[in-house]
Amino acid sequence: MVTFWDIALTFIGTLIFFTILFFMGTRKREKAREALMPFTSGEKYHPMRIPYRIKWIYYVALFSAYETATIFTILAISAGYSLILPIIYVFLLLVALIIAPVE
Amino acid sequence: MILLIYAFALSALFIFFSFLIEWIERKIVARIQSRIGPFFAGPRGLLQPLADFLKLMSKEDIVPIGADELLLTIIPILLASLATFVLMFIPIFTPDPLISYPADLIYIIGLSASIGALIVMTGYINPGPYSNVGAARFGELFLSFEIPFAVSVAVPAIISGSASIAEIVKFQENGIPIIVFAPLGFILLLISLIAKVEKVPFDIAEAETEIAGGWQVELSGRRLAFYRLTMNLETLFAAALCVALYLGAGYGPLLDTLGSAMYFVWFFIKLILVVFVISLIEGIMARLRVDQVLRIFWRYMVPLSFLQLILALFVRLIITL
Repeated sequence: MVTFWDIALTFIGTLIFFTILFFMGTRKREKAREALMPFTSGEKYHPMRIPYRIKWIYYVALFSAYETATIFTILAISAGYSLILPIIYVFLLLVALIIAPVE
Repeated sequence: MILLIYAFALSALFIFFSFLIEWIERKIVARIQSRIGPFFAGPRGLLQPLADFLKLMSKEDIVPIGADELLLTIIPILLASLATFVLMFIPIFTPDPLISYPADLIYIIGLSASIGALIVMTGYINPGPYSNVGAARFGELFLSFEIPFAVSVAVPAIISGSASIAEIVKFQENGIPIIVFAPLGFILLLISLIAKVEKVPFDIAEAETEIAGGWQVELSGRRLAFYRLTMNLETLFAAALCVALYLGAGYGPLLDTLGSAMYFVWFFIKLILVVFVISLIEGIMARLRVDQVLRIFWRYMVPLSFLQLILALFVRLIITL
């Protein structure tokens, strides 16, 4: 069995490993500004963003959190664990669901 | 300190395995399509995935105008780290994984969901229409496959009575894998994982012929190398999760006589079998339309996953009686 700090340390180790690996990649000098294409694909039209709702991203993020909470609750019920922690978790997520779209 | 060294060593090892999995997958798909597949780099093209990775790492680093460079640096590193980190919870080499604690299965579901959310974010921080459309499509796919995925991951936990992967693996020690109790759960997990790793027929977020690679289209050089590495690591994770949760992990004949090395051999054989099935589906099927994918998941997979959940509760009831 491991402690929280063991898990955190392992993740930090992985993060350091991939950060080193990433910065080992060659970073060739960027082209002059006027020679720079707006897109990697080589398209010459100006960069533009398709209008999208930020709530959609909130929804995706909260959906993933909520789904985890649901599984947490299902497993807690089936394994007969204390339901206090899942209830607190679900409550906090419900609050987040209400607050997020407003902000 | 030892944990840091372990983390470094395992990260390197998982990268090696992910390249091996990619090679196997490319060879199988090539054979199905009457091609040879990777051939020149290394014996029988074994080093081709590594060569591709090194090539991308050494290419010019381009950040499109209007894109957030800082986020485009942080997210690939975070994605590769998360994809490797979740693998450390799975007992691949011995029945005891590097990291194990009660309810780590829930932690895995949460971490793998955050990988999906980060991919959606990648598509949106690039100011290209293809990229944005790809991100939106991945978002839709993500919302569709996550429920069957999470439920089919929860099924072995319900049957074994524990949300710890190590405990679920121990439950299968007697030689009866959980697939015997919940075959539907295994099929649902496999299909959800194919969608999760964006393989054909669920590669609607990339769809090269329609949206030129989707959320990946504006990525290049080391960033693209890292995203591809993440996808390979996710494929490895998908196959390892299927083996650990449903196929009896590394348990099999000759384990008692040959010791723990045999555990890894069995795990690896089963892992290759799952990769073979995923590659076979990839090779013989065509890409589905967005509406078809959504219909499959919401109309069939979600209700079936809830049915499997109820069945799993019954199985647990019978086991405990």
